[in-house]
Amino acid sequence: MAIPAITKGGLIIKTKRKPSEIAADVAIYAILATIGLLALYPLWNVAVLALNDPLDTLRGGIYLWPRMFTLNNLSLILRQEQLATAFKNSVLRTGIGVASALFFNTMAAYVISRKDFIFRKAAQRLLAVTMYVNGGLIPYYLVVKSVGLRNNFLVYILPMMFNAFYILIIRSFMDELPDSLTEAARIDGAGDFTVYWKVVLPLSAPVLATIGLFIAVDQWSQWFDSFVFTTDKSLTTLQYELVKVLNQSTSSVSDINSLRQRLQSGGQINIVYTPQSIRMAITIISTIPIVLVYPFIQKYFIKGVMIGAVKG
Amino acid sequence: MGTLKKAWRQRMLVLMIIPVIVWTAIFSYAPLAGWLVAFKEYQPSKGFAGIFSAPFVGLKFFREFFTDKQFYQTLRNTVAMGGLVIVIGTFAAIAFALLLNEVKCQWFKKIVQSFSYLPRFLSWVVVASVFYLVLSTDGGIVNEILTRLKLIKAPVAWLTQGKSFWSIITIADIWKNMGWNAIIYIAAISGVDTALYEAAEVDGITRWGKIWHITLPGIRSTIVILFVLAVGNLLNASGFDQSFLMGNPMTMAYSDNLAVYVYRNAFVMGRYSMSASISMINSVISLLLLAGANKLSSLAIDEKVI
Repeated sequence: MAIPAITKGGLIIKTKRKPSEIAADVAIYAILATIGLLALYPLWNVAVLALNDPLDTLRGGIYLWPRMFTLNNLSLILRQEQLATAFKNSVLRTGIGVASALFFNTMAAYVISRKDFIFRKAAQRLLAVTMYVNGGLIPYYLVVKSVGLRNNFLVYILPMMFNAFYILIIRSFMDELPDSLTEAARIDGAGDFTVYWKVVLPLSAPVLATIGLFIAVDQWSQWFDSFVFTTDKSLTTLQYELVKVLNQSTSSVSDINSLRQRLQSGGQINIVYTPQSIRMAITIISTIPIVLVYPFIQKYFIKGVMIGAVKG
Repeated sequence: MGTLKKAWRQRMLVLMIIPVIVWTAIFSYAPLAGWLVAFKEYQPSKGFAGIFSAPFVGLKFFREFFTDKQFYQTLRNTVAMGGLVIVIGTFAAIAFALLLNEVKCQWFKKIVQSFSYLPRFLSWVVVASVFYLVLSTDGGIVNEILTRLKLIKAPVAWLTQGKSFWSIITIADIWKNMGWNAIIYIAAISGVDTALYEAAEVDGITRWGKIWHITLPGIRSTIVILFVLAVGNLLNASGFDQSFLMGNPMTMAYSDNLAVYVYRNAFVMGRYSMSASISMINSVISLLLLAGANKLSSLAIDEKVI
């Protein structure tokens, strides 16, 4: 029975809704709940297997909860030398990468946000071009190699030092800051670097958080640079180790095999593993940092995508 | 000299802009100069300077890949996967945003949204690992469900089937990016004038009618802008990571894309010049696509994106 929800006068009266409306609502909630679960479940599945006994896993049927809970898979990974190095490098590149890129990107953004800067247009054009064309793999490789970044930790830092798109986002944020604040500092005799460092940077905290997190995710997810520019095992990263395991390259697995033999001959624990348990454990370890900070950083990401959308 | 004087007065600013100029020169413009390598018989052992001394061979390498059958196969795969990811991905993100907009219960909306964009922050390596697991023949959830539903008789090794590869890449991309891409549409929807909905309600327009006649036209320019940018990115939309990490010799006829082809020529076959010439064509086509899409969008929404 259809009851008019609205009177002619525009006054809204709460009434019973049509069955078809309710059915539509139920369908919408059901679809969205499914989407939410589908987004989460695959990772959950990985986590459950990473926390289950490898031999028990072979019996199958583990989808929702570990059947034989164990931390051995994870601890095995962390005790393996090369993976420990990889973890350390991933953390280092993310930390140093974020700090340095934030400093340099915001400094560049500050300069081109200064409307009276004499080379403003030129600098902006120079940056804009880099967003649309790039030399491609080989020319880039040759450049990186010729400036001595092969097998050098700095290959993780220098090439990601600047990003035209991030500079654009930061600049558009700085454009919104009231001029009066920087003017006041300038009247007090502050130079441009002081204005940038002492006035503009602290006011830019929200955009720093956003861009810093973008850079952190970029850094943490990178593997191609390790793959192409490093042969030195001490420079490996977690993501790259995971690539090697995915490609069934046996290096990590055989390393773990030798570790297991050492531990067993030393009369220690009997360690059991399967290629799958190793893969799941590395996947989880390379995901955990993101999942842990995720609840706290989401709102900054949304802010970032909005600034990016308006200006981009 | 007015300019010099002004530059001197702003010397601090000039000093502060120098790092980005130097960096751009090295990491963006020097590689562009490196395009020269595409026209030369280059010896990898000669380093970057060797680009300039190498003998000039004109369009030799361009002719070579234009007559290479593999090039056309990778081009087809690149365009197909990129197109699927862009078109279906855009539809999915808009549909998801519209559905979320229909939800009145705020906490439900928030939870679903938070879950939906978590995968965006995982690397493709992790995504590949996750897909290896759920698609595995050895108790992977997808095969488990499909066999229980009697849709397939025995577990299928999806990742070894060339024909499934495009679908898998599209699904993986949607899994990773849909929630994130929807954020912009959700914001655009919230910017649509609410008076329009109230007027529509007075006129007794249905829920679907409101979406079709008010919401979608209201976010039209957002859709067009994002679509233009996506088209400019067509050749890179199905990236290196996806094909390299999820493809294998068995799926190569469908999984091989331009990025992997460029990589293989360079580092597996050592054909640096050939690889550079393909990257160069890739860049040029991308620019043309962007310019073309930009032109089209100016017809569709009366404003240029770039």
